[in-house]
Amino acid sequence: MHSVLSKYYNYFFLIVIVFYNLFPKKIRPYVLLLSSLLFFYLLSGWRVLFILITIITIYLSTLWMKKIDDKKNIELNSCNVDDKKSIKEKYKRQKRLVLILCLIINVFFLFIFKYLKFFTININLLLDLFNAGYEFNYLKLIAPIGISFYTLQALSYLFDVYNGKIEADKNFFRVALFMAFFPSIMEGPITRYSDTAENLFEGNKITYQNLCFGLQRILWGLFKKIVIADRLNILVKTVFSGYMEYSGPVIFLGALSYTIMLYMDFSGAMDVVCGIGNIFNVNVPENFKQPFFSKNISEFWTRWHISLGTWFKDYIYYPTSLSKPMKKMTNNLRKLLGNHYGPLLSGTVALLVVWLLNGLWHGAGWTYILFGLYHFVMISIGNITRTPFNKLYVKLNIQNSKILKGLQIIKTVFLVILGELIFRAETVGSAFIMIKKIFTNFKVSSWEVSSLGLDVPDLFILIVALIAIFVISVLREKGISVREKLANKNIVFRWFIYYLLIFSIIVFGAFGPGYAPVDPIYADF
Amino acid sequence: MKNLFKSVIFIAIFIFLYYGFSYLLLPKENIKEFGLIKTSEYEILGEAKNSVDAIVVGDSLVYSSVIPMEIYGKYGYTVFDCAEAAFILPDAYDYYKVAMESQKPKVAILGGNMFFRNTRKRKWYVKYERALKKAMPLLNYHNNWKNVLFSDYGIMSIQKGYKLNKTIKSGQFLDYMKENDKEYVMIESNLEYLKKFVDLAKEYNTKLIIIGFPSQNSWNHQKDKKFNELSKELGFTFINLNKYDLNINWETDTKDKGGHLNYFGALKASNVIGNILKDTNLLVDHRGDKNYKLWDTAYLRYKEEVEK
Repeated sequence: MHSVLSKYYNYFFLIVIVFYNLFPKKIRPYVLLLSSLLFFYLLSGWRVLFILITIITIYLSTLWMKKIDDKKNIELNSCNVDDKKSIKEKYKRQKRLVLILCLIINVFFLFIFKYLKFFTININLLLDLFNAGYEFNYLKLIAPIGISFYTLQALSYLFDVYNGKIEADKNFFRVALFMAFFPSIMEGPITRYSDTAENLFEGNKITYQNLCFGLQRILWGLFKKIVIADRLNILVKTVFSGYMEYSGPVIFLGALSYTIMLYMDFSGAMDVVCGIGNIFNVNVPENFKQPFFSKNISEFWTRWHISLGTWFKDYIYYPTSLSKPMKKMTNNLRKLLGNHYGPLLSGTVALLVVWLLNGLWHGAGWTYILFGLYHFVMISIGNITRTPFNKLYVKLNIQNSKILKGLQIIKTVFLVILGELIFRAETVGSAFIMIKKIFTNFKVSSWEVSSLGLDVPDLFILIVALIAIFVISVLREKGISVREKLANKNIVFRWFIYYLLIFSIIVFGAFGPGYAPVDPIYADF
Repeated sequence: MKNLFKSVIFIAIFIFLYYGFSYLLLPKENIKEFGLIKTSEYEILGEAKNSVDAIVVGDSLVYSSVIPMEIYGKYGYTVFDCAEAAFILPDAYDYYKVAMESQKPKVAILGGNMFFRNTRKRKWYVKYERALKKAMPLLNYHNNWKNVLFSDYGIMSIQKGYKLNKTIKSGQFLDYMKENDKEYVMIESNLEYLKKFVDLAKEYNTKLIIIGFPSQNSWNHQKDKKFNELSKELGFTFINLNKYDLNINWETDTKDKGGHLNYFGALKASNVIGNILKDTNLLVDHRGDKNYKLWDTAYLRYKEEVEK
């Protein structure tokens, strides 16, 4: 499995950096595009065809939509006022047809590569349940790298053009580069055309300042991944593979470690992607914003994997909740349940769709579906209880209490840990057993602690590194930019920090005998 | 220009610190005599002089099959793997000489497979790995910070040249040692090297054993026959583990479908190697010996690493 943090990726990235500035400004975007496609080819071989198909279909569909819009505008300029509505309807239908056609093509590939096997297995189970005496064979397909990421990115462009938020781009290469830009192809973030495409195609020179700034960010990402995530991997693997042997507190420790590991691995990868963006002078949107300071699960998902959350909000939640049948339902429920709970209930239906799809996006498996449903339930409970609780806090005059905020954060972290436990569990059954043990089996045996695979030095490094991460997160949460602060310090202090970071990774990194790097969880999507 | 100057200074300080840390964390029993780079190139130089009973020189089959710490744990013999992937004979002989000079071992084991390699040139990845090993000693020894900060014993090599790999990639049982009438013709220069290895062992009064380590891809009947003939002709002991029932399960004990053993297969092979060493009646059990305290500690660390 390949990750943004793999060696392969680093060599490729270094080669592109070395040669990039040698090309004239006008040529650089094409260099980036070719490098990205070559990178994709090196990782996925002939499957590069699928990203090319996506690029071509998205490009042609959006141009087709633009043509329809142009035709519509010409007709609207020369028609009677009475005909305007019917003309708009006619062209809207045509545009929708193009949208659906393009959607079918791209979602079809995603379905075939990622979900066909899962659905076939489950259909076979159903057939077996009814003694049908027949079963379907399933194809063992290897998905093109990053298909879940680039498909969502492509669809966001398609939807934005369809909704008239942006204009279809005539420049094929700009669309292609937006889709295939190599740093974000494997683990995201899922960028929007309006945010990155122009910037990407400018072909800005790599400057000394950008290079330094980017390398700092990359170093920080590597620290999170190599010193923390890879070290925790030992404990996580031990607990999740032998959960039957362990008591509730140790299973909880395993789930907590997995949550930290996932955060360090994924946000570390995002630091690397943003760092590369910095080097090429491209604004890559942030995907994490101190998620463990969230007061509820809804807020958590506005701080964790932000680009995915906003994608689902913009392209699934709003279109579903603002659809005609849902509007009708909202109006009926408003009459029945009042102005607060009426819209809330109809919003909950849209939320269910979002979280089912979110779960499925994370993987074709029942644990992922359960993971989605779990968050749906938690967010829905939060939505329903928020108003009465807020009223209660006001009544008790504790609405601004720091203790209350702290307790809310602890509650959210606890719920997130349970969610990640479901995400990591091998099966739905094992997830339930583990959760049950957390709440019922409190007796820890001494052998359990010594069997977790981490020795005292490992624990020492973990604690020190996590304190460093925590302090920096607190500063960032307070709106203090650590990087800017550092940039204002004198060169001796700055370099001391850089060397400290570099040698922490080299000396304290969890690599070599006895360690195994984390399988890049998000890189398989 | 200013930026270029700053970059150069930054890199220079980095190199200085890098080798500073390398010096701190590298086993330095022989650094004074051989230098930092040579010590990092030849891992055995990290061991105290004349403390290793048996060296095992060879290619990837050696570092996949022989776990020195298992042998130490069970028999108390100090064994070191002097092995490199696709080891070419000139390089292997250099390592052999360094190991003999620094350790004067009672037994030298050679992996027979390296005498079949039809090349005088290093493969590109070997060149890359060797360069990396020389230039980046810290990457190999960085985990010694645990011993510096958390132990009184100081710096040591824990795996003693063995490369821990628990990957399981199942292979099928093949009758790869089946008898046939074919003859194996050894490359002339390889034969010359074999004679040099034998001569050096005689010079140091070291018992030489050549072993065929388990591999379904590397060994066959004709190679085995050739080594049996050579052992009589040149006067060394030859044992082919591919012919014996080591209880290797090619479904679980290989990391690459039968090409090399994984940790689980190496445990079985190492037990047999320990027995072979025992049968020489040349070695003594060092467990509990205060002069070998570092080996006792390394054994405990090794256990921690493999149980992770």
